[in-house]
Amino acid sequence: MVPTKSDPKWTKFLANLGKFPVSDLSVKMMMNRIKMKILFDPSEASKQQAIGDAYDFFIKNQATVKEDIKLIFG
Amino acid sequence: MKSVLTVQETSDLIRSGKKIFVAGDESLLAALPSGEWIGGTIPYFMSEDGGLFTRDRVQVTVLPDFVTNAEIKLYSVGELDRIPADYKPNGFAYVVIPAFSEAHQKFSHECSTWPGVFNRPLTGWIAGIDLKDLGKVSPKVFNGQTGESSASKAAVMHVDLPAEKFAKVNIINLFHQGSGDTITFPSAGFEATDCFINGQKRNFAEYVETMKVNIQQPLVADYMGAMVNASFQAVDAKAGKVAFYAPVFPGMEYKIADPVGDYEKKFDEELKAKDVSPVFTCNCILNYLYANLEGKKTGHIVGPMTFGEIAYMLLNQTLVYLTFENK
Repeated sequence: MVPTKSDPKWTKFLANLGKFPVSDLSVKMMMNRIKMKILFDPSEASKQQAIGDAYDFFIKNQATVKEDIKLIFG
Repeated sequence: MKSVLTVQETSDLIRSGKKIFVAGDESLLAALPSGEWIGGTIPYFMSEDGGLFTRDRVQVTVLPDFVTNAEIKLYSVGELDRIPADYKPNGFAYVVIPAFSEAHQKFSHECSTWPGVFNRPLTGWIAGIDLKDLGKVSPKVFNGQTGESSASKAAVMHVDLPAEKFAKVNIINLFHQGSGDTITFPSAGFEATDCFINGQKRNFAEYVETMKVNIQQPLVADYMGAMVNASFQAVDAKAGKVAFYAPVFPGMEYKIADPVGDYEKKFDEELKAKDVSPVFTCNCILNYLYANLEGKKTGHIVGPMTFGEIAYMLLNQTLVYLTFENK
């Protein structure tokens, strides 16, 4: 289940990028993009936008990357 | 069904209403009738009989009959970032971009920043030419629905799938990061002068020369567990520049790949381990050349050997494959 954007799980998600052994290529690529985005712009606004992008991705792909969603968010 | 066909056989498929991806010589693609097909130029293939160079036949991927909705569009450089907005609700996008074009440059530098780009599978390849024609002929892409071809635009087939199916893009990359120096770059580009070796600033061409790097082994970056290559194109020690077939990016840590050894054998082992039955695959012309794949097979995998592979972003020396799965 994808948490709502205000859920603290998203903060943990951003803090632990790279530590989730995800399997789907699209998840890896999306997470790498978020990592780069925050690396070059660590502002709160950038982080909120990253959460928004990741949320949209997971919502649109709930049925196809459910194992990775479970791995990340429990 | 065999994948390498004559123009006549391919024309028959198109006229029968099949939705197909076509790869081949420009003159052959130009001779095909209008229909539900998208094409790009390349004369190098992995066929059922092994690696093949031909300008007499094309290679065809036929989409299954359950694919009922496919729309083809050409995107100019300024329109490329709209590709994700055109994704089908339950589909995937298949893109072919002419090598050496501005679209090739822009896509490879920027695609990962486009909103929603990862939301649906994006796969495809960079169209090329006979290496003997480098500098003389431009690679091209074709929109079979309109008959339009282009050396500057990206061709995209947006395909939708039935609700119970979904598409998946994956890669097989036999290269892994070696245990050597960590290399980073201060800016993005197909060319590098400065780099940082374990944090120390250095000229990259000088480093490659000094370390006697085998430039058939790419730079490899770890994208959250996905190994992404940037292959060496040329090292100009005099000018202090190194050229790549895909851009390197600041913030990513690269290492020179470990040698693969017997590519054919390793590929076969990887394929058996993954148990892959793809709808479409493409592999890299560099793997074709460096592993001497002409006449040799890569398992049951067939597809064009391209000037760059696309799985959400531009890849080098990597096999990209598309599968259809049940939800």
